[in-house]
Amino acid sequence: MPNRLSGLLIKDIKTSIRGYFLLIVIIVALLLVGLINFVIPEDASVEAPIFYHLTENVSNKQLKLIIKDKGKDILKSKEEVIKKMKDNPTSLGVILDEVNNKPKIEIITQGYENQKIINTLKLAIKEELYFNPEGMNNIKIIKLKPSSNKEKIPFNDKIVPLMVLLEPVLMGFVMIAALMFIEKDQGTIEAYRVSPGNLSEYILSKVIVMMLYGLLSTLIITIGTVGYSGNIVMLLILVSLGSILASNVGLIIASFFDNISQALIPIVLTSIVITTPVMLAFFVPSFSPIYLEILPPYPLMFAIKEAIFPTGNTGLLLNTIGLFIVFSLVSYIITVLAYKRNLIKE
Amino acid sequence: MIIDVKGLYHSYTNDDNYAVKDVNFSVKKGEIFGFLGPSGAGKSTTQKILTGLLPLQKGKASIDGNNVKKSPNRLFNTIGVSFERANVYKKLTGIENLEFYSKMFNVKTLNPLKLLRMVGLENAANKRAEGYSKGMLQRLVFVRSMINDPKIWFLDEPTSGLDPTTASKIKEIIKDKQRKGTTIFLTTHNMHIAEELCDNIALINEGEINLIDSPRNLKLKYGEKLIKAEYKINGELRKERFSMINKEEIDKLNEIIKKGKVETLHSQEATLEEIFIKVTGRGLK
Repeated sequence: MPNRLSGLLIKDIKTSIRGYFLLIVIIVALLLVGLINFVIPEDASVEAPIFYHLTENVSNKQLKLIIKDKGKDILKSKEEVIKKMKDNPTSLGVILDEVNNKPKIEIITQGYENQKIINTLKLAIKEELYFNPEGMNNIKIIKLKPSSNKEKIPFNDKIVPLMVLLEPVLMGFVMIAALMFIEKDQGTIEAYRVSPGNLSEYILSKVIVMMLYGLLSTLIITIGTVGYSGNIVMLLILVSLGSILASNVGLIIASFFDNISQALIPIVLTSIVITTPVMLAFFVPSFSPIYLEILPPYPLMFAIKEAIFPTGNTGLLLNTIGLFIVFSLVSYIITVLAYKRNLIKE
Repeated sequence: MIIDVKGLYHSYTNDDNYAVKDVNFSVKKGEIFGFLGPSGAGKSTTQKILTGLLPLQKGKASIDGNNVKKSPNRLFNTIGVSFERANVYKKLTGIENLEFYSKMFNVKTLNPLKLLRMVGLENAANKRAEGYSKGMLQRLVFVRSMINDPKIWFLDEPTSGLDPTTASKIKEIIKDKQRKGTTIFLTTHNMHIAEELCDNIALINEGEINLIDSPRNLKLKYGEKLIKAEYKINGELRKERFSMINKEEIDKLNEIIKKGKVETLHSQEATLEEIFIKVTGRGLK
């Protein structure tokens, strides 16, 4: 068996390299590195500066407190506020006035802000006026895990775990089906079936090749963006298991179809259905419906994140690895059975 | 019997529309058994069932004592299968294809380069199969099926698409393997190769075997012996065929010979194709 598996591996590596699979993997990984390093900004937070003007009528102490730390954002006139706002399309303006000893506040908007932003600004000013007497700002924040580097990660590097999940892991999903259909089209699988080789080795070889490509892609993406930081061994284990599962699922879907053009749409659709909510959850962590937590890419994404940017949550890594060992084994058995059924039907 | 088939049926549509029906035959050790029939007659279907590429739906079939329904994978160590379709890895070179395939077996395999040399592919050994011509691919598939030095060898149209010289080389290899004791199951629609190589032939048409016998017996039983004569009458050269089972024609030929008017005289046998048409009512094409 080792001789046969090595023969299958050499064959699959050679045919996939000569079929430009390796080249595609490297080019896509390098494009992602370029995208992360040079296109996606390090800081993606959108600043909305607020320009203030305090009229001469103001004597209210609380009103004066609002602009206490605003420095250069305090302007001399309402006209100057409007002029500054025209130069900065994301800015807002606040005119603080006093009529009959009562604060009068005017909020100037660009006109396209949603009600939520305006309400937030209103609330902030109200809080400053009525609930924030001097001294209340002295709230001390104590961090239980001062070593956590969460806040130090630039925005572009933050999306590296997502890229690792989408490219090296899910790449196998489509590529393995393509590899399988090429062989089906050439009829080489028939020649293999009249040899003593069995189907489990045949599938295993392809899954291993996809895993190797996944690991290569992971190394290019992570080293090219965040360098050698993080737990690289854990990362490679996670990517390997994720790739095995993705390849098996890709093969199972492909087993229901006769050619790549028939299988491509279901494979791509499945890929979108699985990855879109996971991507959403990545950018909006509060989005975590129960069905999402059942999808394997969900825990995998957070485990990959933990491996690349460790916070000391070893439990997450080990649990995910355990879970994916089970997923990989079960999916592999289903894949072999699906192909046995499929080939017998032919 | 090394191959034994009884009451074999197969339907691709899982109904009564059978691609092969009630097929019965057996092949002795060391024999070349030919399946002769036109395209779509059921030749390849039978071969695919015997080699496990199609499930055995109905009937019994055994190879070397192993029921093909439950035949173990190791049985393939003693079997070679050459396909009509050039199903090789196009991205691999000729020699890489053979080296890969040799690793699939648990028995000693033959030297890939020697095999390529046997069919004149040694100069293309390191060329990718995608650059091979149809004939070269056919030869590569043929030698690939020999890599494990099989005891039972299935050949599907082994000379299809080959030039006469290469086809002759392939036929020599087949004869040589038979001399060394290999049992050969050969499917073809080519009457010449069937006649030249086979010890026994099954004539198959529309999924049914019409006849099984040796080429010689088939000719004796179903072929009409003829004499082709060229003779002169009143200075005019005439060509005519005389049946050797028709008394009138025999007498007429005797008369011509007696008069010494014969220029040339040749015996003629019916071809397998003529016999096939006589038995099945259709041609081999």
